[in-house]
Amino acid sequence: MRNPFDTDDRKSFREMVTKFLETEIWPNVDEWDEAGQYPHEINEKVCELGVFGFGIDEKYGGLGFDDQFMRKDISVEMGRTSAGGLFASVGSRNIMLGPLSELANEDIKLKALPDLLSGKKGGSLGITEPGGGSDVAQMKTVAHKDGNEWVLNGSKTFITGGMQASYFVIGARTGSEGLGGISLFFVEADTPGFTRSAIEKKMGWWSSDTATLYFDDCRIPADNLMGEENKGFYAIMNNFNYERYMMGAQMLGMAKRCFEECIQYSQERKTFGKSLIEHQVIRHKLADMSAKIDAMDAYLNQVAQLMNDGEMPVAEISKIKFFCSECIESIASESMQILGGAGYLRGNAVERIYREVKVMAIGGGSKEIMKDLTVKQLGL
Amino acid sequence: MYFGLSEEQKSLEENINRFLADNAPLDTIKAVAEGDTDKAREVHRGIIDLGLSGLVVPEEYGGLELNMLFATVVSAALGSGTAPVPYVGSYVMAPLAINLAGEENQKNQWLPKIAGGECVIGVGLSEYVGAREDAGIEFVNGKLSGRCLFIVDGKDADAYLLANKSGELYIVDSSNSGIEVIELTTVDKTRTSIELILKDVDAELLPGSTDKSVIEKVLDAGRLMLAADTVGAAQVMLNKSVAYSLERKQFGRLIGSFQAVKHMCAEMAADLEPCHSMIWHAAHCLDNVPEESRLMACQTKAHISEVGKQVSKTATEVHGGMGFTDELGLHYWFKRIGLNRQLLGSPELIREEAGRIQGFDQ
Repeated sequence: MRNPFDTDDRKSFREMVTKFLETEIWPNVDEWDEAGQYPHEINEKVCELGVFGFGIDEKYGGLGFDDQFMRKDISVEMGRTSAGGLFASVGSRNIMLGPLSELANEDIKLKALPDLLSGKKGGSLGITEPGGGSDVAQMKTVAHKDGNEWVLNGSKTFITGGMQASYFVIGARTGSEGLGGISLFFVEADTPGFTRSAIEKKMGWWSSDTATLYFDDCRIPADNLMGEENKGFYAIMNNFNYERYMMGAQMLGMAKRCFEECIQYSQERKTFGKSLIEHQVIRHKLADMSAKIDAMDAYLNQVAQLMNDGEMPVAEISKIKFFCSECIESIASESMQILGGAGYLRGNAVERIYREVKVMAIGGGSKEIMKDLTVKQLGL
Repeated sequence: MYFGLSEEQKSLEENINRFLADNAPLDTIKAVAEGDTDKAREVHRGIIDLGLSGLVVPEEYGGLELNMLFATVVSAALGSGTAPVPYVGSYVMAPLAINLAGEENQKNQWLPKIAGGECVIGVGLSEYVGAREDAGIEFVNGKLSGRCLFIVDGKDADAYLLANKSGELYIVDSSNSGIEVIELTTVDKTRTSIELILKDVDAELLPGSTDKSVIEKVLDAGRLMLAADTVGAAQVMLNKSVAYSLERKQFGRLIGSFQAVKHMCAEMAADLEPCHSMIWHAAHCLDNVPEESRLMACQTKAHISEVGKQVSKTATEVHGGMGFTDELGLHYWFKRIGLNRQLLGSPELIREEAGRIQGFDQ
């Protein structure tokens, strides 16, 4: 479906990204996923495209402009590669760059942002804890002031990109119970008192690294407090919106890839004397998928335009997140059905996407939390 | 082990089906739906002659003393014919309640009459199941006052069996003074529904019903009968869909040769087939496994209401535009299934109850 908001600039940006992905990533996805890792230089190659620099000043290595449609296009194309794990790790910096560029002091920004935007070093956001996922208000990691330092104690888990990352943005409790007592801190991986261990054996995202982080009297300079004390949750709220939109766009890409694979397979495969695609039931499945893909696409475009106009439509972004996850759950499942036994074998995009659907419905705010947030935003 | 209907049960089912095919064809249903009370009376008389009014009444009071499994067989058969007759309230729930909770004189007064087809009893449990704010009855000094909604089999009834909010059951002679009857219009024109407004009406408590297990048993039986009615009706909708798909042509072919239509029929069959066994199992529990009977009745009513909705929707779709016509009359089955879904608790309400029975709220 043609995007009525498309421009020549967006088109050439999209083509540049797609060309890179098709040559550098597509041929290697299966191998890297099975290996559980990807070559480190891929971080730099992806970052060189400038895909993480939106809304960040050029003096820090950013693009110096923002465009929600370009953000969308990147995520769609990354979703289409079916390399969910790789982009989870490379892209983990994306969800900490926003707070870092907005809240950190100038010294930290000058040090960390160029490293992160060039891909030389990795970054992760640490919010989720062993005792509480989407329920951020339960945060137990604490930070207390001691002279000219903050002392962190506690742990974080399910931290995507957390084994490779050199820089972290960490949420910790500095005040009272609930959302109002949380602050954000910039933490470097080589700080004494910081350790981490890898979470192995995931359902999907095999080539990504996922970590549990431990803070044991981890001392950081007082200036590493990012933004106002006890206002950390509100500061990352905005960031969640970008993350959730981006995941919606990635799910659109995953859906498009499933659709493409299904068309190709159902044209090749013959059963009962005719191509699979000549069977009415298969044609109807494809029609259903196509309608869902258009609905996701149109919704994402509409909201992208609102965001470009300066709005932050939180309810709509929440709806995008759960709507797209419900679409991709159905599309991935029907695609597996169309591919039949062939889809059940490892080493194809549909099988991988099918395994990576759930993380999209859980990570970044679960489907249920998104629905709660939606009705709350509707004033109910 | 044989799991299925016995020869007697099958023969009862066949008798009812044959009777309805001969005496209550679609034209009769249409006539009754449009208010032909004579025709309705004839069909009603016929099912009394088949012995259905005394089905669950004990032999000592002139009934057949058959169990819940037999009663579900009858209910499904009546649903399959969208039979315009009282049954679930008058001939299952009422005799069950009176037999469980009535004193001997109450049993002697009502049960032989029910069995003999001499009286119809409307059953109103809505105020116990989930009362509206302004409904409910109170019993003071032998007199009932208040308002009851959605009384099953209540139109032209000789008596009413009514529950208050705590589940106590009262029996009221409909000729007593102080009763106002308001007919309720529902989508389903094959059965009646009324509202009662009572002002100081003479009534009798069924003394055993102060034990809440009585109304629970009556409700379980009612829900199971409604579920069986839905299964019977849904099975007919599926049969009609298959038959229609083998006669209707589009694009030069029978629509049944299109894969999309075949799959719709296959999915209806796959959804519906296990529902027959579910009914049998729930009925078996009501008869023999008291510790599981409440849960099974809830699960069965809730699940079959959903399947019924799906089948009636899909069957209408298979019939295309014809599915909406009065000529074909498919809507009688659709609406019957729709009303069954809501009566004595919608699936949403019943699932909550099933959750509580299993201790999920602790």
